[in-house]
Amino acid sequence: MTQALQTANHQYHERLKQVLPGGVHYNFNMPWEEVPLHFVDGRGSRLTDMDGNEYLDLYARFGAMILGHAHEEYLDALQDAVRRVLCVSHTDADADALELMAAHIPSAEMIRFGLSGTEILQTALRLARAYTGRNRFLRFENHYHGNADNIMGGRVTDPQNPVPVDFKGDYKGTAGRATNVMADQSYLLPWNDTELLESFFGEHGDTLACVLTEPVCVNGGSIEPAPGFLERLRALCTEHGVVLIFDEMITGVRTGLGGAQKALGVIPDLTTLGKAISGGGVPVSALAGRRELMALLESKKVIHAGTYNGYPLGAAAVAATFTILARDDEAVLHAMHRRAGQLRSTLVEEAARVGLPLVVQGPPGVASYHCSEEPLEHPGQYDFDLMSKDIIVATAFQRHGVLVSSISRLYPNAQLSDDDLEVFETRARRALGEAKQSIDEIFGS
Amino acid sequence: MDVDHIKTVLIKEIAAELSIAPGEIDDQSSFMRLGVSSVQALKIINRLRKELDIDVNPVALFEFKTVEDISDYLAEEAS
Repeated sequence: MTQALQTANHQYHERLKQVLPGGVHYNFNMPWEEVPLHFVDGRGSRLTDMDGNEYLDLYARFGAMILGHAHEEYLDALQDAVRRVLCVSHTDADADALELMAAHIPSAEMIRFGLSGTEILQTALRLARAYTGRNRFLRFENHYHGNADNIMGGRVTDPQNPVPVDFKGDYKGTAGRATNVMADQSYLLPWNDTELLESFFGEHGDTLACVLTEPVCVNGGSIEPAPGFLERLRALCTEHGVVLIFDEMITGVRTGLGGAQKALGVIPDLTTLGKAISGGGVPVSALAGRRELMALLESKKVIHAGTYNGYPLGAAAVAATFTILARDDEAVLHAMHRRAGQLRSTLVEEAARVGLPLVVQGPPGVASYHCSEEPLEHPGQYDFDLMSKDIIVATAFQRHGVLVSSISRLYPNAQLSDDDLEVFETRARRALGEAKQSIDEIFGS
Repeated sequence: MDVDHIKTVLIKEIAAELSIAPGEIDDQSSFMRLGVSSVQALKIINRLRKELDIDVNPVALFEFKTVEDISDYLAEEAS
């Protein structure tokens, strides 16, 4: 398969690079994606590239493709929406979508649609600032909340004043960032450290507009919140008049239609959603929250604008996705989680068979594997050795026809079948054997 | 740590991994142009990391495309 990757895909990539910077529309392509795969067909959990190679798709476009490729009922809904009316400001498509979301997501008393996660996160910040009259926000290390200047990467150099600053070698840093935009607006803390959080709130809590967190730190390796951490964060935010924002861009829908907030029983004031909420075919992001906060959008005190916000095709996609996944008490999602659990067991067993230490952690819709004896407890444990080993496994998976999301995330979809699981077992066995050899070569056996 | 020393070690390790002469690699050589695979890059960087005794993010290293960029970055991390 490796040789075949160098043919049509490679040539097409060379052609594309002449007019497309880097040959990609996205900067966070990982090292093993030096020559991106260009696909020509997708069915269920399988993709076919330009060279005719077939892959099991556990990448799912960063988790957005929740329904699987070419889902008939979803495609019918999109086609119907396309044929009715496309480019208008208001249609009869909104209410179904919004009411379905509000019925399932605990914090979603009111909802606004946008297009991208980056954009809707900034609207959430604006809303929190307007509500509290405060400027600064707190976020956590190795969480990801979009690619705006004020919220991406950075590290703290003085723990007494935990403001993030640029540093050379920051994968999530960028040239061209506005000066001091992170340090002037935000604080950055390690996640899952309740003691540190208490101490920080004692000193800075009354100056904060909001706290942003992924309820499960999927971007940092699918790390689950420590017992009591989110509950204490919720209480501290309430106590200090701080808006709590859950970024459920990844966990929304994938952990159940109510998101991680429902599963974990901790309800934020605002929730940002995207990716899977619209099924994977078209982009929609959403800001959901308490009526009292969202009312600031109603009165135009806080501006939220965008030509395509609430576009009919997007609203139809959200309604179709929630309708399909909600049916029979979320039967499709439960089946997907069950198969994801089987996939997890297979992966662990096959790794053990070749003598490779490996764990899979996180809720079944958003899990990650790590070449480690024990699950990670906080994102700071994701060091060079571990990340390198995970990358080696990911590259071996790709060579053997399994795509995972960066760095080691396993995103199942609603069409994941028993046949897919069998294919995974065969390919994982080959890939893990090869990865073990490379890991031994680099790190010693 | 001296950036020239790092550069010399880096070129030596790349040359060894690719079985080519160090003279074929210059400051502006990049992993991609030299045909260094992801796994080979990790091997090279892991050896350098141990030699220089620094902790680095492997993903960050792919931000630096040339021998010069990588050496400058590692020198800064080691300082």
